[in-house]
Amino acid sequence: MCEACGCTPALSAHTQTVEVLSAVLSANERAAAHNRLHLGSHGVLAVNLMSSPGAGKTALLEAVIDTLGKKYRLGVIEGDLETENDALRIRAKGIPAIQINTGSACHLDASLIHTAMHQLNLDTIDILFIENIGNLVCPAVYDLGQDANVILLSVTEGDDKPAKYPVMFRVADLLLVSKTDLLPYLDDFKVDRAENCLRKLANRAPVIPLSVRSGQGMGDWLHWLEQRYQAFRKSCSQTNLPHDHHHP
Amino acid sequence: MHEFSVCQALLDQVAHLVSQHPGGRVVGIFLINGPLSGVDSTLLRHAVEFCKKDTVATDAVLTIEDRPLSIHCQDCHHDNEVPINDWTCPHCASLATQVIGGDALILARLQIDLP
Repeated sequence: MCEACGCTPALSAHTQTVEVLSAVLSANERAAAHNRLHLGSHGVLAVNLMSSPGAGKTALLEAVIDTLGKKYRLGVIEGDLETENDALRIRAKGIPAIQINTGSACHLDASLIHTAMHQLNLDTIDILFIENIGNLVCPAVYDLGQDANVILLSVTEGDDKPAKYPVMFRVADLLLVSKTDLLPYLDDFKVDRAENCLRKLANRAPVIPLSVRSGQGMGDWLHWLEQRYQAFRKSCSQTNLPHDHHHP
Repeated sequence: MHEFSVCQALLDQVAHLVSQHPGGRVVGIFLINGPLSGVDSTLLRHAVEFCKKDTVATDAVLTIEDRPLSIHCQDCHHDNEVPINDWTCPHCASLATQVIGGDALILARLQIDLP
């Protein structure tokens, strides 16, 4: 304490300042890097699906299973606050699905994915979909170790969502504008406007309007997915990652 | 609202760092935040006040410096501050821009009282 006025000095003689300069979420980033190495060593393409609740992530996955399920070995990690409903829908199609229930947490993180990955046999999977918690804010902040972020924006949500949620939409590797079969009933959603909002985030990711119900855009989406898988496999074979499974 | 998860990660990291200074007591935590970190400074302050009790940071004063979003233009090579949802270069209107600041929550430094 200062003898003149009794105030508490900001620093005592024994105070040491330690420079850190590291991301607050660095532990998650390390865990995500570990997952990425693990997935790469098994040649598994991991796709992180993110959107608002109800944008059609699970319906999209069902459609992917119906069309590519015989060509590629698929696996799914489902994230929801509660229920096993989505995993049951995927398993009903004969695809392995691990359900993560986060309780009240609004996002998946890399350690949750790590645990779920170990419940799957990665040697029998080519493409692993991670269906994140329906939420346009928090999931974007947590790297999971995925190769690609695919974001769904359904036409009932409003075409200015990328401007309202830039933290999410800036990380999109692909934007799927979903439920386009409803566009005739909505006079206030313009795909161009959604795309413009995305471009203002300096994001050049492809934008595919899509309807699982009508089939519109499904060909473009599946083509993107197959190209991504082939590019990923090529990069895996070039780097020839050793399977050094060290847990930090 | 994931500020409590972020707060937990922060306090874990602080605990790990202070453990390298035996008998040390954290008196100051300095963070740098930006609008694209996805973490709200006000909510994080509340979360830290709530969570720090009975941890190594119980007496720590938290300071968060909010920095603006800044970009570098790959066409005209100017650096500028921009609004959170329009990263068009204010100098040449290019969209070939790259975020160079304001997209992370960083633990800058700690102040530790030594015995």
